Amino acid sequence: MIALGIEGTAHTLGIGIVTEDKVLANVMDTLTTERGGIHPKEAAEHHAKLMKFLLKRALQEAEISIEDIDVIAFSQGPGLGPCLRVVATAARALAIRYNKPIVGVNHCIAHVEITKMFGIKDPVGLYVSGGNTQVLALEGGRYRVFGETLDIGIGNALDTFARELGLGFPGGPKIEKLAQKGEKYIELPYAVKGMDLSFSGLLTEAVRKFKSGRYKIEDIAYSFQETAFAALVEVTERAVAHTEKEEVVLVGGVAANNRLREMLKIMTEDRGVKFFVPPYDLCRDNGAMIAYTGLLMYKAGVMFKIEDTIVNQRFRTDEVEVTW
Amino acid sequence: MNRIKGTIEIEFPSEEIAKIVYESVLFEHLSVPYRRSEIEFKRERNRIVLHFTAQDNSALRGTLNSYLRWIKVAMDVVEL
Repeated sequence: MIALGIEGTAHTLGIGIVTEDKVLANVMDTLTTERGGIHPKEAAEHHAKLMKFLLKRALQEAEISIEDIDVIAFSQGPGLGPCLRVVATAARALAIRYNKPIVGVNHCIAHVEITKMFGIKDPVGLYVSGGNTQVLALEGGRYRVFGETLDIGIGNALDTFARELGLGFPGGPKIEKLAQKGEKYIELPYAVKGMDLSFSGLLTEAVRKFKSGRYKIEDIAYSFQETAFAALVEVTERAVAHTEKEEVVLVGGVAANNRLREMLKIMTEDRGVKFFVPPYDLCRDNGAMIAYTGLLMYKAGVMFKIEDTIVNQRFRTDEVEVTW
Repeated sequence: MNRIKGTIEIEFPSEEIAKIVYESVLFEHLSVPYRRSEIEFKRERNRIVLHFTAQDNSALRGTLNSYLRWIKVAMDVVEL
């Protein structure tokens, strides 16, 4: 069976084509701006302009025609309304024109589900990106969010911090590089509230310390990462302890950060559980994860009528009954 | 208060294509909460017709841009 997936919840438009065990194509384009940040309508315009081009490229790369596709999947939410609407409209047009079934996919669930292509069975997922920071796992037939950010996503926090430091966008990799040269830990606000996280206080204080001129920029970057990532690892570890699951996966754009990987690796080794990070193009926002999750859903009998394809900007993971 | 009113008609190569585009955009039309502008969205054979009324230029621009974007993306993927 072959599924085509369209991802477009934020500034990346991605088209993926997959089978049950293989990614045939995974093409994407990200709208970037000089200072970072996303204007939803500009991102929607970007997606509309590139939709046909990327669809054709994905089909070429997969060496198939649209007629060979068994199911069309699309990111139904959560995300930016104007972007989601472009994606849903394109998916509907494909489904109607080529008479294919259509499935709407929860973006956050797809980030975790793609790891199953690599043999992962039932993980705790740490999903870290610009807009989302969640610890989620399957419990009682639904993906439950065990902990999440109460304010900004960790990726957003890193990018904003980098911008304040004058490092430009995207800031995550630049902060990581600086942090490698950091030697001294500077105390910063560590905010784990119950099972949830908060990064805005950390960001404000780190910027304040930078502007004071009393600290080395490398030490602030190092301390920022250590503080934020320790909180992420703590919540993930507690979710593992609670659910007694034996696998942890790290997904989302911030999964590229080697220090976060290292800290999670240490934690999972200590607990004797498996740790897995997919290849980066399957970690970041991508169409293959949408295609793969859509394929699993469709094979389990999930069918959408066209009227079920309305987008949901605040689509929670536990709204989806996992029957696959 | 003055209101801006107008009509846009988009003609498609066939009635079938107009129908695909119309059905693809219809659920966006039905689910968008516009407060400062109103759009009547319909299909007449091989044409899609938009009758619009808006309170001001910026409301009009925002609403029309959204509809034209959806129509364009649906048209684009009809022929791959």
